[in-house]
Amino acid sequence: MKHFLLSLLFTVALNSIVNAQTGNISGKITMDNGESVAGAVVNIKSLNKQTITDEKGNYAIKGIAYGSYTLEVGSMEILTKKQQITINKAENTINVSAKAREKSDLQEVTVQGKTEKKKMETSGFAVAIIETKEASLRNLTTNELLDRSVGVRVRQNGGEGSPIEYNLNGMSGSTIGLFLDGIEISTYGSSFNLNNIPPSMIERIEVYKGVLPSHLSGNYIGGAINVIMKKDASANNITASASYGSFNTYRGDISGLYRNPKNGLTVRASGFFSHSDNDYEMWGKFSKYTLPGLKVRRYYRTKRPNDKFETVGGRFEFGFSDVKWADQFFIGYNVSDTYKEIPHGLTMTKPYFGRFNEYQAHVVSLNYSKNNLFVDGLSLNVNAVHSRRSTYLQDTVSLKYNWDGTLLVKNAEGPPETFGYEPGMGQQGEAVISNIDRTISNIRSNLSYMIVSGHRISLNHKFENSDRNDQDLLRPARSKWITLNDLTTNIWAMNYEAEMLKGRLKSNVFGKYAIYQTNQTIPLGETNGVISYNYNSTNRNNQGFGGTLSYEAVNNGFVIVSAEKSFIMPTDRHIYGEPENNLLPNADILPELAINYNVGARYGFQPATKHKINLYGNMFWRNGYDKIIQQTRTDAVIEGRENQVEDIQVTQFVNLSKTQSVGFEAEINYIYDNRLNAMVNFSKFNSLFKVVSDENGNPHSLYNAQVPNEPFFTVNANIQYRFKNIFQKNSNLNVYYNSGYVAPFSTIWIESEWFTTPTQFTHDLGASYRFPSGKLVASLDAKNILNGEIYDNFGVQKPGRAFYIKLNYTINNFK
Amino acid sequence: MRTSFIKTALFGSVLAFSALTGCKKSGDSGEIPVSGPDVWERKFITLTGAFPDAETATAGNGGTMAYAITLAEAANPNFEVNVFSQGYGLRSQRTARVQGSINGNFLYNIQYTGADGGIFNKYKVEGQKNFIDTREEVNTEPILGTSPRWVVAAEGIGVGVSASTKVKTVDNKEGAGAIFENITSTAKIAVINLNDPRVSRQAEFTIPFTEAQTKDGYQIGRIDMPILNAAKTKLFIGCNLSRTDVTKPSTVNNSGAQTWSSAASTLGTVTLVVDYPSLANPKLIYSTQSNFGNNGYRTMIQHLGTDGHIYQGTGVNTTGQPHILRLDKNTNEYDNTYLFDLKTALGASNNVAIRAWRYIKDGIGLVMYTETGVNGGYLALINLTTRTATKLTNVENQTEAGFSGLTAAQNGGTALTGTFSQFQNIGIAGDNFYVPMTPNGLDGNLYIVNYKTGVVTKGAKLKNQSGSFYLGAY
Repeated sequence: MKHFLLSLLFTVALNSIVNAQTGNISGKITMDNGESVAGAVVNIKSLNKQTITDEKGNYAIKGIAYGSYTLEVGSMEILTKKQQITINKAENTINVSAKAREKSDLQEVTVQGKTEKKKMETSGFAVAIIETKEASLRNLTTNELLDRSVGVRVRQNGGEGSPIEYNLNGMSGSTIGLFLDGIEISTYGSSFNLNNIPPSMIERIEVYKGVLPSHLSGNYIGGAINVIMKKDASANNITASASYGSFNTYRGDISGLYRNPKNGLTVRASGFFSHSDNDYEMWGKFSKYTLPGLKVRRYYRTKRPNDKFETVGGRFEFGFSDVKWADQFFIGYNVSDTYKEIPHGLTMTKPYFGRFNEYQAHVVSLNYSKNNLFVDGLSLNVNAVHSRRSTYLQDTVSLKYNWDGTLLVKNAEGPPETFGYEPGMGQQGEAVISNIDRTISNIRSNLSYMIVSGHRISLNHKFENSDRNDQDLLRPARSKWITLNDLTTNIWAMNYEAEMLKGRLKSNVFGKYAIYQTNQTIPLGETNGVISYNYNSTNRNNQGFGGTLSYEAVNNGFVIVSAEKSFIMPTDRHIYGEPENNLLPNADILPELAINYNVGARYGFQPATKHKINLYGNMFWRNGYDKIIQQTRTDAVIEGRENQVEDIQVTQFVNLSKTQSVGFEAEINYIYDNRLNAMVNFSKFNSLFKVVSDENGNPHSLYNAQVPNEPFFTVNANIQYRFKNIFQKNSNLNVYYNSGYVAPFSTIWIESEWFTTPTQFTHDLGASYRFPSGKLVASLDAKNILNGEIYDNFGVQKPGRAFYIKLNYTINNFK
Repeated sequence: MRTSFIKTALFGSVLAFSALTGCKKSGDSGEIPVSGPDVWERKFITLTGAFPDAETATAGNGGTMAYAITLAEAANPNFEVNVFSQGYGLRSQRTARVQGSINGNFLYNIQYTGADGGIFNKYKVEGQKNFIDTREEVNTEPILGTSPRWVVAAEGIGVGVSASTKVKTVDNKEGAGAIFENITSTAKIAVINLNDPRVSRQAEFTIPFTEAQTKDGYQIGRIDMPILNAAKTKLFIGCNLSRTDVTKPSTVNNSGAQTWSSAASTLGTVTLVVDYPSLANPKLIYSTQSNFGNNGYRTMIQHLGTDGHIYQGTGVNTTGQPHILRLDKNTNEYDNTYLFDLKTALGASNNVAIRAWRYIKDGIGLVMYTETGVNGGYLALINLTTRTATKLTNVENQTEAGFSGLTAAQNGGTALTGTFSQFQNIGIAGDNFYVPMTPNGLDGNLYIVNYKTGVVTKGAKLKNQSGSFYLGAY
């Protein structure tokens, strides 16, 4: 089946390199009064080709097959205009004159973003594009935004800043790639990630399910989340926002862009700050109070302790945009710092006091992109990032506490006696003060060439080197005895994209080849102050291939198919473990193989003027072999820890012979007159246990049983309504309702109320008001308004009812 | 289209309404369940079974199911039990050590890891899948950690224990090449009142080795299987005695922590003794008859005889041994004239390992054992007075490898965990032993052994599933 699909894709792609005649168009966009329109979007919808006019109103689109088309022009300054054009020669000059728009009529601002979203979503990949424009004005975090998207489940272990696992259609953990502008987000450190990057710094988020495009190739088979930072350099602007809300949460961010139109010099700067005490109330069954004599009271209502989160960061970019030698050339510096208290381990077994992490990262980057480099149709894009990041962990408090911060009392009778200090112990086990420095270099290059219009071939290369240095600050003499790991990755990927049938059929075939090299430096002994080492080097490689197909069967109705076969190589974490996290090494772990298929459709139509409906559905089928999973070790004695009483849960990555996830996701979006926007989406999948035979060689009793601990059914719904001129003329009021539902799921095979993550059903309300000047937007959000008792992970309760207020201020188009 | 909007709005309000009404809190029903000591006649035999875990389907690692049957049902080979589909899930994310009261009317467990790791629970047995969680919970985690080792040390008294060690090097040197100087072993004990669940007493102390012994590398890193003597004045705790090779300098693991070579111990089997109920005056006593560890694994290996002596099996973790030792009731020391050796008693040519055993009356016990190099799990009645043993041959399936287990190499790549190494409890009712016999992943039967006549009766049929086995009878 898979070979058939792939070869079909390939044949279609090849057959279409028939040399069709093409021409170019160029011209100028002006208003009625003759004034040129800068930054207008010029669009040939049927070909999905668009461009933006320069400051003089000029535009050019190349490589259009001969024929008749509708040219559509829109901008903030003019009313959208459509014009019929015919391409029948090599160069065609088409000037368009359009009506000026009234200043307050700002609805079409999102024209460009929508086309980009639609273009990607109909490219053939199972991809969802999340736009952040509106969310950035509200009290929403990037993770909340992701969680509302179809097929995405963000599982967070507590309040803001807590560890997160992303689940895309039933695939999770290390199978999901997290990228920032195509570079692994981990390069930017734990202090700059989806937990703290404000939506206002983000242009859009791309969520790829299963099949990844070649520019995101890596060690991922479950999909990827790619965060595209703001790139727009069209208009000078400064925006700032400040918010305050429940649990002493306050945030602020500011960003600005300046571009000199004469020489293209562009400066972009942004900064953010966020703080939350996360001291929300907990009252669920895992909220326990240990009475004197160690009897337990459950459903203990208390404020969540020791969960403070504070993060600050800045991003500065300096360079040139839209100059002769570069479309974009930027040198950037990214700095971030996070402080996070750790209130408990994976579960709420016991509270931790005084355990915390500090993350810091300094990142320099270089970004270069140029279309039509040397020759027409050749484009180059290089993104190089070098980072130094550090992770600091401290846990030196040995006293034993209750969740309310009082000390545990041993005895029920007599004068209360507490457990007292235990030298050398911390909250989770032995006392720890450690620091891990990582140096990461990451370069992603993409060279693509448009052979003829609609046919493009691209070459991608990714280089990554990471190097870590562990320091034991509590026992500094131990530091030099820690094994050093150095990992180098080279991935080559090639793809060929073709557009046929006047752009109605698009295909993309790709192949990937990766080499991973790990070098270990293992200290052996010391003679006269000189340490001798054992060097251990391993080399692994793998390859994968896949393809996508998109066919516009009817106007605005697309059939989308994608398939991929790829491997995941074990990472240094899988192989060497993480002693600081009680993760054991496993030298024998095998690579994981995945074969993914997606078949979907998108259809947008207008049953009547002012009514718009968009439908989306996708079926997915994911097959994993030798899946790498984290297993809890149960051995009576664990190698290297013979004398340790295993009070701490120790885990290890191992292979599970086969897994399968089959499911369906869908979304319906209804828009009325640009006022009402209602959306419902759901994702349902079966993650099945596929081990055929048990240790006796008999058919496995659990074959085809639903694998526990996967949130397999989620529904999101939201409604937004826009009131105009409601309090003041020229003002805009948006009201929002959002609801999220996650079906209950068991965390172990046995059905038990104690090991079931109960139904999560939340309702959020929000409103944002844009003052008539257009510069100030105020938002109010109420989350979990019914104060639902919600859990995500192993009984860790999440925040109840909460309120937030936010003010945004924007200055546009200053000179 | 307006209707569509109305529908959407209706949907939203239905969602909201159902959330409002569905939010009722469960759990605190207010009624006080029957608890206290086990003062009733025996009505049931409870069978427990271990599930595989969720992520990897690792055998016997994903929680415990329980199902209670009557004595008549237990003796009926046509009666079928499937604890996995019919049973009640005891609260523990991973398979926990379950203990029972004397007449089987209560079960106790302490949850092993997970959100409630270290929490003690008590259940009243009401037949079939009906177990009443008495909700008398005790948090043993501050003393015993989230994966505690505990047993019923005497009827109504549970004891949990924990031990740890700390090495001192010359000049406190870190890393490889450090020279051993001394080692300290620490023990923690928590006494749990099972009749009115709470921690009634606790203690922490340094295990009293002599200075010469610790400098020689002797240490106890794990203790388990506490038992009280008949007079309830002394608590005897099994120990995993080990010894660092003090002549060899340290090496390091990946995280830079020191690791040490070990040397053979010549002290003999050792038991830690403390006064009860004070938990004071810790003392180590040594056996000259055996040199194996005696901290056991999943099942109680020390039993109080009707003669007042304590009989102590040997074996550490999953490794069983053939010896049973005697702790004298008069001196509270080892009776170093006494040794029961199962290998000798059976006249076996290979070494044999006691995986679980239970004392009933009159010096008679039932032993579940495996034999080196032989697949299968076997039963024998032993007479501790005459030091003789009789292998029970009337057990079907006993040669199955699923009892003794196979390594990955022996089993074509996937290790087969043996039921016997995980076994938790042999049931006793009247003159009979109750032993569920299911190889890993295969069906089996409950076997009833009359200690007086030695007659083996095949009882209820036990349906099994992959990666699972029946763990015990209570």
